[in-house]
Amino acid sequence: MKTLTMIVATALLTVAATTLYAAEIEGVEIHGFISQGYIKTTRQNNFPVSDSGEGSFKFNDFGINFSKQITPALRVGLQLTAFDRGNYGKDKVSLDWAYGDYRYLDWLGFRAGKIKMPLGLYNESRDNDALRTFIFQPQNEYYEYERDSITAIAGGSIYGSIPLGKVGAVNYQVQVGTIPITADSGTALNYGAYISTPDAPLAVTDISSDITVVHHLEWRTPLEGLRATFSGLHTSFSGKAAGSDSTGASVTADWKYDSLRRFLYGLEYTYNDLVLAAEYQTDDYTIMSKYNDPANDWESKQKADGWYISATYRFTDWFELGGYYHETYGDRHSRDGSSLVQSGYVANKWNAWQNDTALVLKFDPMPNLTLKVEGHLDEGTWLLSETSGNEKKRWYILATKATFSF
Amino acid sequence: MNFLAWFVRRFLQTAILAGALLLPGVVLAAGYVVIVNKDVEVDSVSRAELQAIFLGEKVKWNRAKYIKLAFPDNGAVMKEFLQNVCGKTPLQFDNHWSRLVFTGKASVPPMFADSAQMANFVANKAGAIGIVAAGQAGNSVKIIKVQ
Repeated sequence: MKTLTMIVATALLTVAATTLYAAEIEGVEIHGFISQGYIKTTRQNNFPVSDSGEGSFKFNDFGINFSKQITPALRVGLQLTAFDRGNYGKDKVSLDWAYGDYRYLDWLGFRAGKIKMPLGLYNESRDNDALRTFIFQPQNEYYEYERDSITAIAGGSIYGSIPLGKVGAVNYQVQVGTIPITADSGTALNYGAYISTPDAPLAVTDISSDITVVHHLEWRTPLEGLRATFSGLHTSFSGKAAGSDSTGASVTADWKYDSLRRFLYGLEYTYNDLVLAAEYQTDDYTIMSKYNDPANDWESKQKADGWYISATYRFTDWFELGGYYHETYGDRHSRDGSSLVQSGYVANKWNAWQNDTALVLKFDPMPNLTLKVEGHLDEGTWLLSETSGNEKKRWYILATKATFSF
Repeated sequence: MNFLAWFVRRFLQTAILAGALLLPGVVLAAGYVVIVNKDVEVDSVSRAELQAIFLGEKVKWNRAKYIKLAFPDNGAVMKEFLQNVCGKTPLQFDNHWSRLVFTGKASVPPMFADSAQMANFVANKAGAIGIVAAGQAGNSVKIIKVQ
């Protein structure tokens, strides 16, 4: 981690000294970012940073990328990132993306390697805080605990842009591969919470994905500034988990997060300095877990969904204001949460849904520096992964973040 | 009071411009011209094509030669071009390209603050396209029409 920080810091100093927006060495273009934040939430509700209830500085992001245009058609590059969210991320340096890109025609290109997933309006670019208005994008669609997994695929893709004359243009991507994921990822932490029994908290010890398909369509409509997206993710995760119960006896589990079908529908409208966006997401999947004591085995089909509307307005070169309202449900066929209470999965109805109202102030005092202050008022706790059972129904998040990017 | 006046002025400017852009056949007098390398066998492009080129979506001239982009680092020229053609503010345009850069999809095209430097780059780079202030294209490049 120190190595990555030093590399990024050195590159930043180079950029600052030359006032360029990118460093370049022997034709290799270098870009990067450093973010540091502080977060405080209602004491009992730790989200999405593990110890946010106490107030935490374990809230940072680093990244540096190198790319080179080999020929007009072929480019290669890679990005290293690290981030900390308390019990996940932990500033471990990982390969965010690394691929070769061959653009044969406007409507046909090929990529191979580790490639960012184009889910929804903003998933591909969620690493760099400076590229968005909000510190936390709506969590149903851009879940922090999936930040180190459902953001990139190792495999291949085809993509391109197709003009449609008077009805605009379409950009498409189709990706096939597997999702690189580790047992210390936020996703594994989240799945560990899913398969823990009331008596035995379990930690995921092994996790892998099946063959994964991602598809994405972006339609730039004839109405200036309006674009619509439709994305899909089709995958399964499986693995092992271990822990011990209150008597100290070992508990193990073979689990599967099967047949995840995620669909996202997005609309974004840009009118000068005003940007309006809305997205709706559905998640259908089956969770099954088999324990060393078969009496605990269970299987559950889940049909979750969520949506948000957001607005941002750029008042000046240095100030932007944004807000959104967001709802998410663990069972979209039982929005009050009663079905998940009846199944014993959650204790209270409000543990099965969540709504979130956010307001952000974004300042750009210098071309490469972004400062943000963001507040959230939340009700419900469906998205919380690291729970103690003492969570509050109504709670808040207050976050600040500073990002240097070049 | 100052803020209110600023807001009303800004709103009216935006409404007038948006109204003009939505009316068919209305051509805004541009303070810029689109220039290409003389080897580019294209004399005109549609606004949609030009938008696709500057958003990095269209990369080839007529499925043959690759397009080499150059951006004016000139606030007024770039702002007008982006507003007329891409429907984006300079900051939104920068963010669009930053998203491409931070996902590995593109490099930032070279930027030129000076029209002569821009014209020189376009003249010497096969397949190149750029924007310069009207009247400053020179003879070394070809000006193409935007339909």
